[in-house]
Amino acid sequence: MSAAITHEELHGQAHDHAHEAHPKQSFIYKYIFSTDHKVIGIQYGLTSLVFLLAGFFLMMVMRWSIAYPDKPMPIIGTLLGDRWAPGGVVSPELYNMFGAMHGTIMVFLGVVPLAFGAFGNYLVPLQIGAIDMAFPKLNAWSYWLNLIGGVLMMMSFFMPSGAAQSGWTNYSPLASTTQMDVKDVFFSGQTQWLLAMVFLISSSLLGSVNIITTIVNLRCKGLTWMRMPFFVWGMLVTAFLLLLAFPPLEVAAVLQLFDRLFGSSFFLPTGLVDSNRHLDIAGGGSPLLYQHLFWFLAHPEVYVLILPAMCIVSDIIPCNIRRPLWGHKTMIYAALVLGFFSFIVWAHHMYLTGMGAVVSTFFQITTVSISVPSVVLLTCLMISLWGGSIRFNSAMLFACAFLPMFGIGGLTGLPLAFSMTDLYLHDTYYVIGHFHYVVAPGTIFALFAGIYHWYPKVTGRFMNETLGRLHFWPSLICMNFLFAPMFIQGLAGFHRRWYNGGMAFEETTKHWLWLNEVMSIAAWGLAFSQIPFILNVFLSIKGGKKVTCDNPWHATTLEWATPTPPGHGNFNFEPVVHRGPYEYSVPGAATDYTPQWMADGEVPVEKLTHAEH
Amino acid sequence: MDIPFTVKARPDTGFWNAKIAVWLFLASEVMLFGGLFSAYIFLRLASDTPWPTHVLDVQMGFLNTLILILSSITVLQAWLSLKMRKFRRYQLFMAATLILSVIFMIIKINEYGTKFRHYGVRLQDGSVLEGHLPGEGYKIKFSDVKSVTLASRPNEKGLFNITMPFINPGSDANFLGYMIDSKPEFKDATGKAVVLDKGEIGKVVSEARSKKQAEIKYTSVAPLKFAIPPAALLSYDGTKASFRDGTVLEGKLEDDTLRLEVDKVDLRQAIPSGEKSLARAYDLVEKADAWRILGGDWKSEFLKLKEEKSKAAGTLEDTDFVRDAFTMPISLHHASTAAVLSDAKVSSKAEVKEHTESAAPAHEGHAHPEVAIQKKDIAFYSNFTPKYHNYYAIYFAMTSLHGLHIIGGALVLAYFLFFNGGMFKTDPEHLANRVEVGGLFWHFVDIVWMIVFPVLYLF
Repeated sequence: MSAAITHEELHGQAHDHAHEAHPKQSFIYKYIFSTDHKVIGIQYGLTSLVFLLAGFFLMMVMRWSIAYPDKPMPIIGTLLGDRWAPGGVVSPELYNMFGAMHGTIMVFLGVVPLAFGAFGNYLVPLQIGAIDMAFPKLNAWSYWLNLIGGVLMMMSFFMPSGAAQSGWTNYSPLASTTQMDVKDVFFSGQTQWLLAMVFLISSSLLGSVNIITTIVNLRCKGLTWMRMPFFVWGMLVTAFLLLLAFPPLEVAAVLQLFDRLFGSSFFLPTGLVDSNRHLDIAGGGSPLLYQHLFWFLAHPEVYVLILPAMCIVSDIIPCNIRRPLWGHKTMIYAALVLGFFSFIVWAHHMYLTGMGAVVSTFFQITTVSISVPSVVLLTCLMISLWGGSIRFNSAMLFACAFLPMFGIGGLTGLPLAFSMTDLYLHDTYYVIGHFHYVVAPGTIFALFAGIYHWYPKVTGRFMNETLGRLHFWPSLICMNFLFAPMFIQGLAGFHRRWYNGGMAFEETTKHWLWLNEVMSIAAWGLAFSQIPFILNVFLSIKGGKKVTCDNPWHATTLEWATPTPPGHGNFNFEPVVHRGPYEYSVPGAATDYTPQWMADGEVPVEKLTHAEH
Repeated sequence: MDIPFTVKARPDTGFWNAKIAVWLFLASEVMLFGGLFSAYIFLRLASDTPWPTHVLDVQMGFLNTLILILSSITVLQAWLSLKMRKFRRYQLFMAATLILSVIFMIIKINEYGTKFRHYGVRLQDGSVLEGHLPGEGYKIKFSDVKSVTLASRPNEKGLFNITMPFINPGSDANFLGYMIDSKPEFKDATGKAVVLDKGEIGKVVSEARSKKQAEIKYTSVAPLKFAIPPAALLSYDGTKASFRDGTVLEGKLEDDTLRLEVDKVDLRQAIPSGEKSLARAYDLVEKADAWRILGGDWKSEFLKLKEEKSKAAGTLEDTDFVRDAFTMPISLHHASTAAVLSDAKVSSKAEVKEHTESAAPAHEGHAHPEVAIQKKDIAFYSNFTPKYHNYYAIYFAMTSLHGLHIIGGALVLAYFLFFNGGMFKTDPEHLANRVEVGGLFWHFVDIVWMIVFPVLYLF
């Protein structure tokens, strides 16, 4: 259809002003309150990396308590303060607080903003040949709302009550009744958690509206739907998940705020007793309602975590094997099916609540069905590797590690999908192992891969390959020593919320308690293996090897047609797409890659350009 | 550098950017209100107490429905005027839309106000008395208070020993505001005389906090009297009142009876939910605590009502029948009761005062008996805020979120009207597009109300 549109029709409006002189922007508007999608993407990226580190720090403290319960933690223990760590010993309250906040920070402030906010913002307009997002100001708002939410979340650590302590799921009635005997319920960590969530939800709403509109309306000439890279498709599906799944969580947050601040009983049943006294509430509410509202978001959220990872890997693999992505269309349809199914599987998190056999069976069927599109996606990526001449740079190493790691995470989910086996495994370390394999060596590895891959485009310099390997191999080994033992402990019945790692139940846990120490050492080792990465990111800005052309990886998608780094407005020429996104090693072509923007017969030229603005 | 398709539609998709965005936004809003309506269904189906129905003013609600529909028409006309390039007409219709939204909010705020003034008291057996608090409202009265202990809560600290500087978790000076007929003159632990005020308390508490001293004890020079609203208290007993901020008063509990001008008695919750027999149900409610507090004459009124109702063969499965048969309005202007009521007969606990209700216009000219309810008789009480029942909770949640949407929408439309006028000369189509997007949102808010209205007011 779009072939019928003339150049002027599509870009007439943009073109009129494209070469006007631009007044020099002040630093603060160029880098702080910028409306440029690339600057906002980088802001998202840096903020979320800081949050990832913060969330990881919480976990390292928790791992101490698990491995060496009731022993003072060196150095950090004394810093935490007497109230939370008397004598440097991590208290159970602190463990609960860090547990709740670790999950919250990692999911809502770390991985999603990095995957969707940073990569989505930076790359989607570039890959579709747009000059910016459809609504640049809205885009800036989305980032700032996210930051406000994040700051509120972190401020809650310094409330008199401490931060939220009821798990990242914030289940009622616990979350509605805890921290209620404080002077001011509004300034309790539990209430601030809900407020912060309202900000984060609003932020992702603005972001998703923006991404979808951009993809639908700002594609450049010739970029038909099926010529869009899988990356853009994946981001489109992700945006729809965020758009439609987050509002019910907003409802849950608002209703829980009502419960906490105005004394309502949305999630509080009749006759609820806390500390041996009847609560002064009307009752008649339902804790199950909270779980439904929460998981209606939180299950699609899992795919919000994993789809961008697939997006990134699906770009890196074809580029580094010099072969087209196997089953591009299949993957697109699989992602669409996945997106649809992700809305009707949420209650598999609730088998243990006694919803009833019929409901459980329904959700069991949909849950098992959703593994089909997931397997299709992974298989396509896997088959792509077949017969390729693989270029193992740091990005590709992480992308390759993503495949089996995500595979382990996915396959171990199957026993949890069946209500029968889930009854045993629910809330054990098996679950922790399962979703950490999906998210940590899965999604986060893909995000690392993305950072290594697109770093040259963003900065004009490569990241150091040696440091990259020093980052990759220890991370891979530590991740596996950290998460694989969780399956064993989980099957042995270890509960996920023991602050002392099972010491209190020594008779049943004694055979596998020693694994706690192994996992904790692996966790701290993992922390050390991030040092090369942090050094690499910062040192390479000035000291990395300079790129010699705009398309250093010889890739085919549109972001590599921009100058290095891309300026405000992105492209130095009017991008027109002539072909599909993965034309590598086309028989008869002059080079082993034929970029999307090359017309038939044109030969890619290696040159380095600079932004005009 | 301008973003394309902000005004003209992209030929192959047929949309300009903001139109796609607003439809996406509305889809998200559908999920938001969808979540709320699902919560409503869930709560109503799972409710283990009678679900309040027909408790809102349907006429005013219907008026609000008409107002919103009218405003949807005016906003459409405003957009049409821009399309016809008639600026004056646009301004008129847009102004009309804004005025209508203000009227809607005024009616809404008035409706909220009546909920805050109306109270319900559930007695230990489940029978409920509804009415208004006379005079200054419900206060817990302490007399002979000789000792005041301020709390500094040194242990309530955030991580790394850092606490947000603007939060003081310990005592503040609020308790002084509840003191009656006396001066805040005290002696501290060393016997030194001090007059406590806001500044002094702030200083003392923060000093104690830094010294990790949890309590600061004061004895009063003369016995003090307090009248404290219950919301300020965490707990109290016969000799002690503990405030939310940690302050403890020691003295004598003088009075914690709740006085209520009763306008309705509701006996439905006195019947166990599994009860099937009408006769047994009537038997139960005849022994209800409510009659002990209201007095025998009202009980005979109720028995008369029962005679009437028992002719209409209802069952306990018919909720409409149950609501009619087990609730009764209480008003002294009932021709028959006004005659027989005398002070002594109505209540054994308290005198009945003729009291003309001014707060709620619906009751104008009627008077309601004032009764005193002992604390031990009360199982639960609240005004008709979210705390009282999940119906009110979801009512407030839905209507406040809807109200916020009205305010937000009105602000955006007002911005178009007052600050975007210049755009009419430079780029009228762009202004029309903006109004179209705002109007679409406005229609959505209208549609939400058209679901809220029957759900909360009619069913």
